[in-house]
Amino acid sequence: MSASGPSPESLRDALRALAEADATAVLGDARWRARARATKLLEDQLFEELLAAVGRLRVSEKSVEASPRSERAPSPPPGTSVPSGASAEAWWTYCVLSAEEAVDVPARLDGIEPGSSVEIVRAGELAALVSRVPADEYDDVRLRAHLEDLAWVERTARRHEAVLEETLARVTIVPLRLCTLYRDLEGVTRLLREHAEPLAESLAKVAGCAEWGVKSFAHPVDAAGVPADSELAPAGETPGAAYLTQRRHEREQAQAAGELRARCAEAVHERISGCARESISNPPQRPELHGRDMAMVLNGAYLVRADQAGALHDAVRELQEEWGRRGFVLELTGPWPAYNFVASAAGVMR
Amino acid sequence: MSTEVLPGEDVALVDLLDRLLAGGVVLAGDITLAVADIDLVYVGLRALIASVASAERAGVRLP
Repeated sequence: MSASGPSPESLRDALRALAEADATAVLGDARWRARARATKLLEDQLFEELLAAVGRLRVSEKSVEASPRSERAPSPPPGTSVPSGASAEAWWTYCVLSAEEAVDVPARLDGIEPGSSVEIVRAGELAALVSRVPADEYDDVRLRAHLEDLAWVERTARRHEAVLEETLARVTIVPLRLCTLYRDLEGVTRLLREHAEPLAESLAKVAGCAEWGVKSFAHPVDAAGVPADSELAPAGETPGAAYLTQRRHEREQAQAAGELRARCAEAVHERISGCARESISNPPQRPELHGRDMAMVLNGAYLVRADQAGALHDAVRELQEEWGRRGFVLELTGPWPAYNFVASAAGVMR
Repeated sequence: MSTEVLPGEDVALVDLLDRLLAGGVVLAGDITLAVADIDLVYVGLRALIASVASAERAGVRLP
């Protein structure tokens, strides 16, 4: 800058040049921010619409399916015989096991209803664990209401799971999906007889095994240390050019981080699968669901023989050591009933 | 709708629901909701857990 200072013209020229250099960057920035804002708004809107759609579906189905209000019990599905003078109780069903192993089921297991206990129903080679529930609390309409109550769902899911876990330690079981209910024990035995073959196949498949869950989490990319602007912009670079340099740098970093996450997911899944009879990679949960301030990159489930459990733990420990250095955290859960390995084999049994 | 979620337990609840509602053998019971219904319930509960967690993160105290 000269000692006499810039002339008005040269100052205006300089400002104009600066504005022109920045214009592209500002436009790009505005576009990027606008897109992010629009995405967020659309996401929120879509979320609301989805919830509303779910609500409408339930309401419309209720109005079609449910019996008139004056009549308490919902109409039975076609082909189901209901004993006249419907009983005041229904049967919650937990899992299927072989009748032979039923003697090893722990005595005195608490059912999902306070004060109820788990009982064994036998039919041919198979058996099921059941417990009494009051029928009017578990009819079609009440059950829908319960399932919208997170506290009820949590309590019920934990009790259901506790019964299975206590049994799992001694007996091979095929877990049933939550809310499998029968009006009477004949319904349970009928299902066991009608689906004896696929149920026995599922039992054979998971015999001597437990399910384990292995997840991998990555630290957020920006926490990995994107250099500050000053480090990126070479001296003399215009703000616009510096902005673009920074954007490019961020893009490259995000890409590298994405590749590393994919490598981690693949390496962990492959190594753990080596200890497993079967494995499945489920879609990762979103951060709102898993609650960590990290991105889930792997959500695997593994069917592991009891004698491989030690190898599984060793593998997880070694993988944690290897990938922990690169900012990943592994999480091992289990042993679970083999939820992920019986559904596809059996399909829906009607 | 109740939003009583015990701190530290909602994480495991998601894992539980991922298994108890999306996995396991599906037998058509007498009273059990239609299979598609359970899938909707599952999606709805996941959305509910996510929204409760988001609200808590944003500092909203839920009753």
